[in-house]
Amino acid sequence: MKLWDKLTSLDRRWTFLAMAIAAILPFLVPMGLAIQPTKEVRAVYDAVEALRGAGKPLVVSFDFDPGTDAEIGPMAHAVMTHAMKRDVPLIVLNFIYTGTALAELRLQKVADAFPDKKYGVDYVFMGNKVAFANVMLNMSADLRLSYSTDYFGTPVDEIPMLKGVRNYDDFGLVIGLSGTRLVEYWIIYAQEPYGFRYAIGCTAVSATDMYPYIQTGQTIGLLGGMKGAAEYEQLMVESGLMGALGDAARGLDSQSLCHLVVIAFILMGNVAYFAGRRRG
Amino acid sequence: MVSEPLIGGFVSNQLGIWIAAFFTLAIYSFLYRDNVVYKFVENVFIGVAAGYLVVIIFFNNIKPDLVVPLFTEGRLVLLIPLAMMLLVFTRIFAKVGWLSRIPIAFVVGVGAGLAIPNTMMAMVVAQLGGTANIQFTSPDVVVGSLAGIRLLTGGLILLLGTIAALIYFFFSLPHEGPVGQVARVGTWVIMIGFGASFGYTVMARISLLIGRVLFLMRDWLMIID
Repeated sequence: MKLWDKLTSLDRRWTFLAMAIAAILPFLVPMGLAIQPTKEVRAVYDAVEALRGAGKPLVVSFDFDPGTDAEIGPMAHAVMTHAMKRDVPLIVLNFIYTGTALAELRLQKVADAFPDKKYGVDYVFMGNKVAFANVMLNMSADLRLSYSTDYFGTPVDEIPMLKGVRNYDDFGLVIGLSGTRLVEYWIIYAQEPYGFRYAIGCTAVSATDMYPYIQTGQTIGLLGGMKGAAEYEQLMVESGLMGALGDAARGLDSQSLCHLVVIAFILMGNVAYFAGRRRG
Repeated sequence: MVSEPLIGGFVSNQLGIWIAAFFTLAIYSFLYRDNVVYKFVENVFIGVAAGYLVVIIFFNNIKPDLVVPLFTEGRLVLLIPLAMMLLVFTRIFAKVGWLSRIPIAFVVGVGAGLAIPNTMMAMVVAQLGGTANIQFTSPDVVVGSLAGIRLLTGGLILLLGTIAALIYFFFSLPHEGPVGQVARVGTWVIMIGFGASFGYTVMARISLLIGRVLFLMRDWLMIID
């Protein structure tokens, strides 16, 4: 069997093995590739930064599940850490039931790093609501129309940080974090009709679909996948808000090596195919 | 809770971490070949997800929005959604199954009523406005400078690319002559869009693998910090 024939009939499990090695190796031998924040990520960072001292809360719509946690989890961690560092009140919502416990876990993990922050005073978790369109529309009038209590059953009117917070006029910024179309539903049912400041954090798969919303100003910026999260971490480190880069930045070396492996296999497959065809 | 090493300075001692590691490896075992462990784990996942759905929906939605206001606060108007909810279950019984169409018709009607105008405004009208208001110049940028040329070029590509892609989907004229040539440009624009989406998709899938690798190496095996 000629080399070209071997390549075109290569057992696909070899490609899986190559990808596994490419993903593992950089964690053992870091390459330390540079991360350059893009203007879309910087815009989100600046918007959170602008909330400092404004007294208005950052609302994070935590709409992803463990399946996309690797991509969106680090950006949620970075954004919530940013809010806590800058003393920006934080409201966490959730519309995807498979992400409810994850949202609580991630919020708690961030809050644990800030012993001076108190639940209900500095941050609050509103829990899950399935009827997202109704909630988004209700919040144009009063969030109490949809939320009578928070996730732990405390009545909304007994939560100190929610006093005076009623609708979109009282929100400093809303960030939708999701691997689903929920980031677009925020635009359809809330941002476009009511015109508040909104930012998107999504998986890389849906990132290209989100760019038109930057062009129209419906979103002020975009965190796209692990790369977007890594750029946000880089900005946090540059401004001294984080001591070291987080999980997203750590994964970028593996990401780059895996991309090289994918490119190599695409080239090999095409060269083998055309070489085999030429020989007839 | 901080995980302490278990074996020879390595490997987590937390049961949850071990279970997650087992499930991760079991799912990836499918890459070698389909097997009984993979099937078992797949079924466990579906069962757990279904059970979890019931618990979350009840305690976050049905209890605070229906049970408490209706039975504790006496808001009788909530009998209407309760009745609608019960009507959905009439599908179980063939003779009265038609009653389930009432709540379904309500949900479809309300859903369409909310979605159609809002979607038109956000996805069509706003996008049309965005395309019509493309920036070719800016007060902050000097015309003829590198930044000015970049802004102008970007605006032109956006405008012409949008028109070309739209003409590709215009089937009332045969794609011949000038129309065909513009449609061909539209094809390239669409292909570039697909290429960008594919690149991002590859990145997304690899990110998921990296997330699991990080979990296995850091949280389970504890061979990296």
